[in-house]
Amino acid sequence: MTHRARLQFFMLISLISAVHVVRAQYTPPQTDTLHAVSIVPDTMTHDSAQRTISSPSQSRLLPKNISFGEQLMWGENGVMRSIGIVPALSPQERKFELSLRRTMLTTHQIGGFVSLGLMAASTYYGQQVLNGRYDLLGTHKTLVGATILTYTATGMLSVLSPPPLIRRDDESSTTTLHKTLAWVHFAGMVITPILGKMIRNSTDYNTAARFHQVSAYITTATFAASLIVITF
Amino acid sequence: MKKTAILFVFILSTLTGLDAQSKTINASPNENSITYHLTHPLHKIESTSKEVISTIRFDPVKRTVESVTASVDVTKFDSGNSNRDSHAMEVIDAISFPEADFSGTSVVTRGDSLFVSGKMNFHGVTHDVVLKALQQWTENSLSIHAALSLSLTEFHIERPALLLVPVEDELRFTITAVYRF
Repeated sequence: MTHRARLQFFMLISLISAVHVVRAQYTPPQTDTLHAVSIVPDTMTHDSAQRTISSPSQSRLLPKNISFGEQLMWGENGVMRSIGIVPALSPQERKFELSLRRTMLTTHQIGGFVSLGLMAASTYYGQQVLNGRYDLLGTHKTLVGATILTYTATGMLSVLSPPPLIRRDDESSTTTLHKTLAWVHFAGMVITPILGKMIRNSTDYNTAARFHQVSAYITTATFAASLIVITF
Repeated sequence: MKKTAILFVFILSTLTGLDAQSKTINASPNENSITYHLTHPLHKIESTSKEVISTIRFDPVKRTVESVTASVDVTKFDSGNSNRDSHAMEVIDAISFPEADFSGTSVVTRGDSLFVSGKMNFHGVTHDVVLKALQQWTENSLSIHAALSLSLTEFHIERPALLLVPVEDELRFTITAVYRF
């Protein structure tokens, strides 16, 4: 089994474990049926007020514009339901999935900061190596490995999370900017280690090192920006 | 017998006349909005729905509001960030409780100000609340600008968090409704 296959297997097992852990901790909200009775007096009822006690609509459970990946994973006939990790779509099940989504996105936020710390440290030690401290190359490589691991896990937590209740595509918000920047730092996370590997075999060390350095700085800056924008 | 009949007709006409004094009208569509305001240490959040269904009963002669009802579909709020709106819908369990209702039956008028006491049904929990409003009458319309503050905790709502920091407990609503008659 290759390193990449092992990593994918580990991610799948982690996701299944996370689903089961969150399900075990999840307690459905207690609904007091007395509270669900319409409070509007008979003399002043209207259709909307009466709808308060209606049963949840199935059409509300998934967003209309669910993405291809979400449909594949979490759609009514998605992989997660087909292989039995989660049951068939229902209001109760959807509430659990939203709870799982919240857990995954909260962990995604924490993972983002951990990854940024590791990425900044990798960049710092990489710069030290370029400055002539070749004894720190091992530390730089270890930090790069840890960064790739936490970055991948953090990204997967977002990509694999169940879909939200609603999604509007025609808006420009801090979240859309966060996602746009994610494409940039994802490209940087793929390119930068490759450029780092190429330094050793390059005939022009300085040029190869410079490309790796610039790519690393852009990736780190973009990643930091993608975290900061979410706070606005 | 004749006297009894006359008395009955008198009472009936009086009651009918009393009833005719009060009018019930719905708020004019597309002229209503409800905005909720939340405060997080990093920023303030506002989200608006223009799909408020509201009814008032009022006395057109005295120009006094007697009661108010309002209802809003909690899935229709738009803060400009659907991810945030979805998060809000998660914490208020919009799947089980897709609507929030207010029914105000006791109205105190002080000049242009209204204090409407009533019951708020939100997140499946009902509490007594007081809606403070400003009324503006014209010849054929009544505009209401109202504000209402709730405690998320009192309505059993877990405070949403960003970067593990929850929003403040106060959930404030501002409402605008126009009633044309």
